[in-house]
Amino acid sequence: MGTKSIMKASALLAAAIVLGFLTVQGTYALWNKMVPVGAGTIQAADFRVSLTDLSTGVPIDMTDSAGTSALVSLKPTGSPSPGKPAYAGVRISNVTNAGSDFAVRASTGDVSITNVAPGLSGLLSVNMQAVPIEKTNCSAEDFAGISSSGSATATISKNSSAVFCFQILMTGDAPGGGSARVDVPIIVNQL
Amino acid sequence: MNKMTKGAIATGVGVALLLGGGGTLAVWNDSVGTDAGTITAGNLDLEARSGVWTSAHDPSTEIDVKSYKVVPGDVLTYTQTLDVTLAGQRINAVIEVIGDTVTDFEASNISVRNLQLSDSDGNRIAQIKKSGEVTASASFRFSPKTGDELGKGRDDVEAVYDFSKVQYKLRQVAP
Repeated sequence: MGTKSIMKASALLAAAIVLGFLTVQGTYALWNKMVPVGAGTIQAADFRVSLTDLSTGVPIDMTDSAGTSALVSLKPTGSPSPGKPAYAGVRISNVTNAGSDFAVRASTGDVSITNVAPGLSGLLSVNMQAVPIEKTNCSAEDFAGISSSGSATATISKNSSAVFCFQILMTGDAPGGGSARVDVPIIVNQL
Repeated sequence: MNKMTKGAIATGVGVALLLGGGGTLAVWNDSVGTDAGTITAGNLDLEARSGVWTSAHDPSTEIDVKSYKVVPGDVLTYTQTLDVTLAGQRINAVIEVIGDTVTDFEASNISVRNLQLSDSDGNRIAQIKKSGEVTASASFRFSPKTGDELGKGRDDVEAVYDFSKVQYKLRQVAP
């Protein structure tokens, strides 16, 4: 066998050894075993609060699935006139599916009174009051002895409710055909 | 006796000798046991018992995570006992947590402490050298500040955090 042939054979052998080492390195493994943890899935609650006009008894969610705040149009007990207020009420229910205790605080924000037809908004004022949850309508007795109450607040535990009553007062003679819109925001915070 | 008869007799005797010789051919021999015994492989095994979720509000009560809905401020803890079998004079192993969790919670609203391992005395362990029980625990914290940011008052409502693809891997390591 010539020198050239010996060198070729040696090179081939060396390449085979290197390849062999590389192959061993890639497949080296020791025992192992895997088992599932089985911890499942954690889910967040829905933070669902419903608002019900006492006059209709129809509840709607305070926030829709798109996250937009609901607008509840309350129907007052008649139209207010000087010395004869009108009343309206809303039931606020904490109907969350939270796993733990989940109390919330509901409170009213700043009242906004705007004219729909001219001349009325300046004559109106609104009192509000949290009343016992058994109440199914609002009346003068809910405001007996109260001179002015510009806000209402209530703590509502899970699966419970609060009722807010509104008293709409007119302080002077209204112009004919006047009408106004009264907006009362309700804010609910987790405690 | 003629020649034919003599020949036949001689042939028969020869054949009989050949047959008899084939059955009794033997040489000396002896045998002893090697006394090498039996080689037995060790073992590596891992079994996970059912884990338990509890809430920080009431740590003594197990909760069913399938129906329990978390709210901001909740802290849940998962505790599980693992039975480790390691047989072999030179076997060491580690337990790793593998597999991805899937979630649509805002990362800033939660903190998840990955599974930690401790021995029966409560000491954190990194490497396991013998059979026994190992306690694994993890926690999930839903930040009470969730919703503080203006316009995000209902952040992460109905969000999920899925651990279902997470696995323990008991892996032998070189001693």
